[in-house]
Amino acid sequence: MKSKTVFSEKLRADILQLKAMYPIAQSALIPALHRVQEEKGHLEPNSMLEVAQLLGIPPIEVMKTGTFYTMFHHKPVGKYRVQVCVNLTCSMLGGRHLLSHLEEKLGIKDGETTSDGLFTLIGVQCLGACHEAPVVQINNDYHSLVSEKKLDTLLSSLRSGAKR
Amino acid sequence: MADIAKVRLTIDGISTEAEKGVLLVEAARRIGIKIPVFCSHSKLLPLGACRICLVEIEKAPKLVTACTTPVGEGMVVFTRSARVVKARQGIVEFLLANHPLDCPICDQGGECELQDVCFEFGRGKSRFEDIKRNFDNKYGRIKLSPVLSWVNNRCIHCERCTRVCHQVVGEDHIGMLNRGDKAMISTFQFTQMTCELCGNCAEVCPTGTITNGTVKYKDRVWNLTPNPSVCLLCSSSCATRVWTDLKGKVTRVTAPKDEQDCCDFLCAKGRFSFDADQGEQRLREGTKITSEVAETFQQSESLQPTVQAFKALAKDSGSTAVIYNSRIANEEAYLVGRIARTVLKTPHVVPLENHEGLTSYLDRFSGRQSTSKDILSADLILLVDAPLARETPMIGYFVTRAVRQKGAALYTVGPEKTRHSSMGLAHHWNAPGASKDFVLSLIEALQSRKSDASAEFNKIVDAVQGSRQMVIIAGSRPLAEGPAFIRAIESLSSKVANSKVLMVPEGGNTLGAMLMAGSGMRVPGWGSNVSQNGCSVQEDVLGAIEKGSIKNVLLIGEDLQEGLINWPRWKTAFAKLANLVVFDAFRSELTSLATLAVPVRSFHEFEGSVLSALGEWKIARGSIPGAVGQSMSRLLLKLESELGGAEQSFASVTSEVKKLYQWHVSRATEAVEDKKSADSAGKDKSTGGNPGKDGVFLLIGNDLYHSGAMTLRGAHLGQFLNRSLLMNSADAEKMKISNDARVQLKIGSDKVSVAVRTTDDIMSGCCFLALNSLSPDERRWFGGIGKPLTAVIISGGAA
Ligand code: SF4
Ligand code: SF4
Ligand code: SF4
Ligand code: FES
Repeated sequence: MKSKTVFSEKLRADILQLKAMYPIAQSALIPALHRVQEEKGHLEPNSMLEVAQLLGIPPIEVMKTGTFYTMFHHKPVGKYRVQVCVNLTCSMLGGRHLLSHLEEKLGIKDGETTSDGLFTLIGVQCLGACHEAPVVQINNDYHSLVSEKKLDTLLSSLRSGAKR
Repeated sequence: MADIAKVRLTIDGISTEAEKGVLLVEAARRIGIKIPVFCSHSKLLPLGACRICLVEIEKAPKLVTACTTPVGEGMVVFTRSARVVKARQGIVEFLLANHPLDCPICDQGGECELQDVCFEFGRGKSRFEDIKRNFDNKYGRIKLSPVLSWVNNRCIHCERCTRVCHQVVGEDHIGMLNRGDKAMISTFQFTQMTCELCGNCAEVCPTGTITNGTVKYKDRVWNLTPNPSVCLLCSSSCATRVWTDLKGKVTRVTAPKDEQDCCDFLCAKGRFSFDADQGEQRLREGTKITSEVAETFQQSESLQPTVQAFKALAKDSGSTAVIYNSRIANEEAYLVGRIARTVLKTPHVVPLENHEGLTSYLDRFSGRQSTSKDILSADLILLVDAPLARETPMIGYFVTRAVRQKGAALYTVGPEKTRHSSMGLAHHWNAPGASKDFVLSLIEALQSRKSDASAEFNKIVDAVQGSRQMVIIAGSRPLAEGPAFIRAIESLSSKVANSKVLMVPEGGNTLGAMLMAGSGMRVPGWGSNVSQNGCSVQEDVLGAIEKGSIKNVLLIGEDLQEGLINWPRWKTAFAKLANLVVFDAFRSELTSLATLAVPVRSFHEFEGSVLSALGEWKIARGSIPGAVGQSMSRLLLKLESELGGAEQSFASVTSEVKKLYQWHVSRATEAVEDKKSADSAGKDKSTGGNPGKDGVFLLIGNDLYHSGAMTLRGAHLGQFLNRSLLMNSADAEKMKISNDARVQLKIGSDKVSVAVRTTDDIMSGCCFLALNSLSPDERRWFGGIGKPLTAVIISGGAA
C-alpha cells in the first residue's frame, strides 16, 4: 500500500530531478535529505519514507544515512544549530568543556532547544577540522580555535542579530 | 572447470598452497590455524569492519585484515607474532569497552563468539574505567520481531546481521542507525519484521544482541544436544539440527554450521515451528474402534491391531486405496508402495500432492535439475511464476545470493510480483495458468522477434540470448499446468546452451515420495508407461468410495486431513468405509473417524532419506530422544514380515531406495515420451475480465508465517495469522473497494468473508488468498494448491 505524500509538488519534483542526475539513485540521497530539511526543518519518519519511495531504495537506507550524519535533525530545531565537536582531538583541546559551558549558558542540555526557539545545542562527532580544534559549527558556518569567550561573543551577536 | 592458478605462501612457518583469490583466513583455516573473526562469515561478502583478524605480513608496514586479504605468491604471514597478539588484545579491549558482559543472563553464553575470542585472544583485564554506554530501555531492548530478542547494548557492530538481511534474506529490513557509541541495529522506525527467512540475523550474530526470542531464558546451550535432522515443511528439505534438553524435549531448531553451501541458514517456518509437534494436537496414543468402542494403545503395542487391520484390508484386494502425503521419508514411501502392491495387492496408490506435471517432470529431469551450485554460478535466473519466498524460502535464498553477491541478472514472470521481483531487472506480467504460453512465446521470440511484445518481454529475450549460464525456476502453479508445460520448458532449455531447469513442487519430500511409492498409474522402477489403471489422484478415490468400489482406505503421512480437498465430502465418504486406517503424527477429525489410528513420528523426528527439490539426498537420523515410538519404516518392516513378507533390515531398504533413485536418474537422461497428449494442460489462458462480474483468478498458496496447520500448531508463528485478500489496486478502485474493507468472496456456492489489502504487486484480474488462513470448513471448495480458481468478489460483505 502506498502512503500519502507529505511533500509539496515542488519538493517531489526536486528530488526526482536530483535522482536523475546520478547513475545510481542512492547517490541522490544526501542532497535529497538536505532539500527536505531545507523545506521542513527536520526529517520526520514520513519524510524519510517518502524519500525512499521517490528514490526507490529501502527506507532503512534513508534512516541509516539520515541518522549517521549529525547535520540531519529528527525533531524540530532552533534557528541556530550549535554543533560542538566532542570527538578526540576537540575533546583534548576543550570541546567537552565548551559543550558544558554552553549548556550552562543556554540553560539547556545537549540535544535540546531554548524555549525562545533560537538555539539548539548538539554535541557531535568529528567535524573534519581537527587541525583547528576545538571546532563549533553553527548552521553552515565553521568556527575554529574556539574558546569560551569567543563563543559568548558569537552567541550574543547571533542573539542581537535575531532580534533585528 | 578450468584449473584455477595456485599460489604458495607460508603461514606461521607452515608452507601451503591455495587457489588465487582465497582469503587468508580461509587459507589458514585449511591448515588448522585459527584466526579469530567477527564480521567475516563464509556466506557473506568480506567487509573488514571489526579488525579482530589482523595478521602480520612480512614486508607490509601495517598489520592487515586476514578476512579481506587474498593469498599472494610468496607471502609470509604471521598470525601469532608479538605485534599481532598485542593488536588483537587491543581490539578485544575496545570491543568490550562498551559491552555489558552480562553473560550469566545472556542467552548466547556458551556459544558466544565474542566470549570465546575474548577468552582466547583478549588480555583478560580491561583498563577502561569509564561508565559503559547504556541504551535506555526504549532502544536497548527493542521488540523488532515477535520471535527475536534484541539487546543492543551487546552489539559489537560487525554488521553480519545487516549483511545477512541484504545479501541472503534480500529484505533490507535492518540497518545500523546513528554512529560512534550511539550506533545500534534497528529496523526503519522500529517497525516489526515479518520475513520468511526471519531468524537468520540471530543465527549469524556473534553476540547475544539478536537471539531466538522463543527460547529466551529457557535453557543454557551446554545442556542441549543437537540432533541432525531434515525439515519436511517444504520441498527445499533443509538439513537441520534439532536441539533437545536434558529431558529429551525439543527446545529449538537451528541450521547446521557446515562449510557446504546448503547450510547455515533456515527459513522462519523451519526454525520457529519446532514446537508444532509438542502440543496438545500431537497424536501420541493410537486408537482402535472395535464394536463402536474406542480403545487406546501405545505405538509399541500397535503391531497386533495393525496386523489385524491390514489383514482385513488385504482380504478384499482391489477395494483398498492407499493414500500418502509427502511428509514421509524415501524409505517410508518405498515401503508404503511395496506393501500396497504386494501385501494389499491394490493398484490404488495415491499421492495427496499430485501436481499434474510431477511425473512428467521426474521422468525428464530427475538428477538433471538445477542444483544450488548451478543457481549460485548462474549469470541469468528466470523465475516463472515462482513465489519462492512463500513456497520454498531456502531456494529463494540461493537466488538472492546469486543476485546480491554474485551479480546474476534476475527476471521474474507471472501474475504476482514477488520478493525477488524487487531485486530483479524486470517483471513480465503473465496470467496464471499460462506459464506454458509464456515459455512457448519465448522460444518463438528467440528465433524471430515479435513486434507486439512488451518491453519487459523483450528484455527477457535479450537476456536469454546473451546468457552464458541460465537457470529457469518454476513454482507449483506451472507444475500444475501439466506435462505440456514440462515439455515446453525442456524445449526452451534445449535451445539455450548451458541452461538448467528447476521446478519447485508443493509439499515436503514430494519428489522422493513420488519416485519411491509412485501412484496408481505409475509403479516405481517401471516408469509411467506401466499403467495399472489404479486411482492416481485423490478425486478418483473420493468418487470410487462414493460409488462403493473402494471400501477401505489406508492413509499414511503427517497432517493428512489438511491435504484432503473438500473435507466435508470426504467426511461423508469415510463414513461408508469398512476400514479407515490412518498413520498420522497429529490428531484431527480424520484420526477420530479412523477405525485404527496409529501414532507416528513427526516432520523432524522421522528417520530416513529425503530427496530435496534441488536434487540433494538428505539424511534424518531419527535420533531425537523424545520422539514418538519407533520410526515408521521400522514399523512397516515388522508389519510386512508379520503379514508374510521376508524380513528385511532398515539398512538394506536404504540401499534399495538409493538404487531405485539411481535407476530413475539414469532413465531421465534418456528423455522418455509421455503418453498424455500435449494439450492436456495450460488452456486457462486469460488476462482476467471484470473482477466484479466475471470473477477473478484466485491464486491460493500457503503463506509462510501462516503456513498450514504446522505454523498454527506451534505457539510462535500462529500469532501472525492474517487472512487478507491481496487485490490489485486498480481493480479495487474500479470496484470502489478500499484497502482494509471487508468483502465476500464467492466460489461456486460457497462464500467466505475476508479483508482486502490492495497492492500493485498482483496482476489485474487476480487475487491472492493464503489458504492456510482459512479453517478446513471454509476452504472446502479449494481445488488444491497450484490451480487458480475463479471467484467473484462482492463488496460490502458482512464481517
Ligand atoms: S554477547 Fe557473549 S560476551 Fe556478551 S554478554 Fe552475551 S555471552 Fe557474554
Ligand atoms: S547485532 Fe550482532 S550481528 Fe548485528 S552488528 Fe551487532 S553484533 Fe554484529
Ligand atoms: S525452506 Fe522449507 S525445508 Fe527449509 S527450513 Fe524452511 S520450511 Fe523447512
Ligand atoms: S573479521 Fe576481519 S575485519 Fe572483521
